[in-house]
Amino acid sequence: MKNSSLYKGSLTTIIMKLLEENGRMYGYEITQKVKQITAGELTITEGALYPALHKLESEGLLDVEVERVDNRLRKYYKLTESGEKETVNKMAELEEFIRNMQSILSPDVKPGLQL
Amino acid sequence: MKLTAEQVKQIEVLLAKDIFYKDIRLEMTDHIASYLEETLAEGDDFTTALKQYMNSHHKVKLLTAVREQEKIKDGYYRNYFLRQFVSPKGLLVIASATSTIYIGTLLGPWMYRVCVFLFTLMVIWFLTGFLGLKSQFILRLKEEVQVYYLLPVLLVSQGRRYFEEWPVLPYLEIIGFGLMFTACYFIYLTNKAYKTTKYA
Repeated sequence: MKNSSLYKGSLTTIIMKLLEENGRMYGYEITQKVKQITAGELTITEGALYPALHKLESEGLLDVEVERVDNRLRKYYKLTESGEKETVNKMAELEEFIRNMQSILSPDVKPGLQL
Repeated sequence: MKLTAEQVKQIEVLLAKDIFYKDIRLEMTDHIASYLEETLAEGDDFTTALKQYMNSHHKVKLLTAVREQEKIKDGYYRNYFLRQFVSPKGLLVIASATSTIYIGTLLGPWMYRVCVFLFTLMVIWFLTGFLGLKSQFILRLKEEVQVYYLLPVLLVSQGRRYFEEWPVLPYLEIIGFGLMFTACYFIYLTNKAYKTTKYA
């Protein structure tokens, strides 16, 4: 992932948001999707992505489906019911964080109008 | 460029020595295969590209991810194994095993030898895969902590030699064997949990 602690703290939120939007995804697909959305600005490395996916899986927030694709087995991740609820919470937390940061960085701008 | 089954197999073989868990290995194989499929153009040499990948920072990052995932998995199965000891079912199994051994010792002094024999048999069973019961849990434990997991076996088998005069020794042996046989049963259950992996 891009060398910034700001991004690192949001990795699970990014993963869960992508899964919420795309239904199910596999590891490599997630890295490419993030690269594509951010026009190459943000890169999620394997070293950060897979442990995060496994942690979310062990916490019961993600479910997996395995399919044979192109001569190999592929592990798809999707949100569980509790994962969907957690995504809503995490997004709300992130939005609040952004609002607060905007209030601090640009105190003259009304934060509610920025989101 | 899509990879052939042989090319995918080549990736998996290269990862086999570095990655213990099959599901992690297959996921990493898919990751590398997807990367190579995207970067390789028609006519490019697969073997050279794979060699380059394996010698690049990509592999280091991948193995960093693997170690983290292994830690998560190890923790999960270790907790799964240990949690069983404090569950009502676990306590019942410990009580049953200990009582059975105690009753056996009342019948004759041969019980101790039977217990040592049975326990040794179980350890061999788990390690060699006799009757198809090779324990992934024990193999992983062996990989992680070398042979130190055999210390309890050594303690019980050598206990008589050094603490022969100790009056509570027979009771400690009974409890020790009770716990070890219970552990064998829980290793069997943990191994079953390994096998329920979705890559089976």
